[in-house]
Amino acid sequence: MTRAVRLRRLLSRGDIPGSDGGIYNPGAMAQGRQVVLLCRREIDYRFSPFVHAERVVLDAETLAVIEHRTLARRGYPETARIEDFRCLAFDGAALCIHTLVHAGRIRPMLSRFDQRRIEPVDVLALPLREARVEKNWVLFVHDGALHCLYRLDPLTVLRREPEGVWKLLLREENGWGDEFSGTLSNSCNLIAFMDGHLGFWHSIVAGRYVQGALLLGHDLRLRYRTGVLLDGQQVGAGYKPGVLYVSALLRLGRRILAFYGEGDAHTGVAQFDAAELEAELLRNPFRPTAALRVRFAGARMEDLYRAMLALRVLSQEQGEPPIRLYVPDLGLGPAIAVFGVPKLALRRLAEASEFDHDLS
Amino acid sequence: MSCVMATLVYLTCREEPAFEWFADSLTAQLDPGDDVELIVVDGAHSGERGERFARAVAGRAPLRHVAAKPSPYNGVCRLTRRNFFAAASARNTGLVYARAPYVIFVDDACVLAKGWWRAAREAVASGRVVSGAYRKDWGMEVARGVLISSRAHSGLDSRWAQGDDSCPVRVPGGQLFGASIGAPREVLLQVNGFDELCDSIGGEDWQLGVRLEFAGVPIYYERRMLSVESEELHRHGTPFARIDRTLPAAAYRQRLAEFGISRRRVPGACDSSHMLLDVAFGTESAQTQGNYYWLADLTEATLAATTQRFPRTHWFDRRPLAHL
Repeated sequence: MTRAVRLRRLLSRGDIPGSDGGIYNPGAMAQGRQVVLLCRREIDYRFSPFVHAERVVLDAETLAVIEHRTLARRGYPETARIEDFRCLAFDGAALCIHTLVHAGRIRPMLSRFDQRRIEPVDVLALPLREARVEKNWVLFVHDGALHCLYRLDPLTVLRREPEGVWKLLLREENGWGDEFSGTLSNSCNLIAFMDGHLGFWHSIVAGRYVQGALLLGHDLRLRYRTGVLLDGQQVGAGYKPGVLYVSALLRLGRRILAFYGEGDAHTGVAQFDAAELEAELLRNPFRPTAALRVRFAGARMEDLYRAMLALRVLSQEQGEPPIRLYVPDLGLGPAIAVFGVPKLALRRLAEASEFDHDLS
Repeated sequence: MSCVMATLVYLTCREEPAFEWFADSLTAQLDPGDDVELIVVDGAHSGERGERFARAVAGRAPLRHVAAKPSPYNGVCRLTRRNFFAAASARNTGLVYARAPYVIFVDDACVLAKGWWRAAREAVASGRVVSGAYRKDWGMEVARGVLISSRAHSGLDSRWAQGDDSCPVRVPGGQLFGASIGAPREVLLQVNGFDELCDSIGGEDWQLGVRLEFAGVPIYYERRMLSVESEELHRHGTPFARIDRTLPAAAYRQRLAEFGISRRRVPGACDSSHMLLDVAFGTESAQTQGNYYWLADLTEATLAATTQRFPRTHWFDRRPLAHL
């Protein structure tokens, strides 16, 4: 980027009654001359069920707060937490994909909201095997249909069919995740930009969040991705210094607004010039890296030991390429990590049928 | 860096607060090594009053005379038609100005009994949260900070029998009463100070106690910190209004649900003072529910800007403040 990105605090912890625990991670939608944010309002920092969806209306030009209101929640389990609302308009409704924390599970769900209430729409039953904790699924509208970008690597995209069933469209290894020591994740719902869909990625580096932009092309494949545009190093305040988490994108004229949560306490916005952001993306085309697909279906630790020694040799001989090891049980992760094979990521055995090597 | 040991915040809005009683009774008890600052938070702030207070202290301790910060319910910036009781806002003003690590709030129209400061000094040294004792007398005659005579003790602190003349006694948070309250400033800032949810109603003192208890902070009753208050001065002039409106039971439950609370914890009337209790015990949260600022971030320079975030309606029944 040629010009420094402008960061601006919009709402601070405590600005709204009952937000001593923070008001942050906003979803955002443009509505005429206003911007509607849907913020996570915490009464304190205990992560109790007392977390609220706070609808905050901003003036689109000045981004000054005009009004706010707590949405009444309908249809959620009483003790469930709903948080981190990522908004989008679809089919005339204001929707948001958000996290539901309930009964020991954390997973996204789809809700609708208006000026007064928020209520569930879809449990988002994706045809994927879920972990106990699932976060950072993001949505976008493509060719008139609701799509879900589940993960960036492997790039996993699904479409909601008219009957409400989610269909897997794409699941492609691309090697992007190997560039990070931490997890590479989505950040916010995608918006129309250039000839595709603009989103943000994030990862955690040395205890702080870093974020950059990405673009899916019309074929839903990754076309561009920038380096770090926003760095949590700039965040020294709040409950979690180092956390700067982009949770919504909006295009307003020549501006791209990236709304973010700051330190698990505040809401802010980074303002990008759309032309500059486009230029930055064009300078950074995404080139997938082919990964070695390796199968391991052994049942005994002895098998695992021999396989991992063989894999280490294979990695050295081939110049440490990205490796995807397909295993029957992801719980083997800690045992496999002991062998220190570089650029190795585990996948479920059922996710592939063709392999470059079989170590079983 | 502040080097003072304690800040005493004297809160008044009365035409006649008898500040001289307080100033004389306090300064007479101070030892030469005691390092205290006095802050008078004045709801009737004027230059004339400032000069009077300065004369009363006569250089015996550093003094600042400040106006109570803007409140939606009280003072020149208020949104209501008349002045309402707004002690939480006034007390938080003191916290903004206080420089010492320990703060003691003292109500007006009182004289501090012998031994008050000695017990207070112990609280400062220990960092305990304490609530001092009080008594309300008629016909008080005070000379050089000493109560010479008074008539019938009409209002003895209801906690008196729980107290001890040799040490502070642990009490429930609901017994943190406001005649004099001492606490580390940092502890109060962590819970965002007194809760303006109580303004227009009252109860900001015990509500703070309940919240501090949820934060795991023990509360002590310190009977040796006795302040004797004048009944006549308390009854003189027009007191600030208090409201305790009532909602139909269904509307009350609905309002409570908006706080995320599904059932009442405190049976009784469906009025705002009961809802203060229901919200406090329903959420079990140490934080404020009615403040529209993060107290630790407020400075003298930013107090005026808090008016931009004033609530426009009463939190309990959504009635416009302009109608009150």
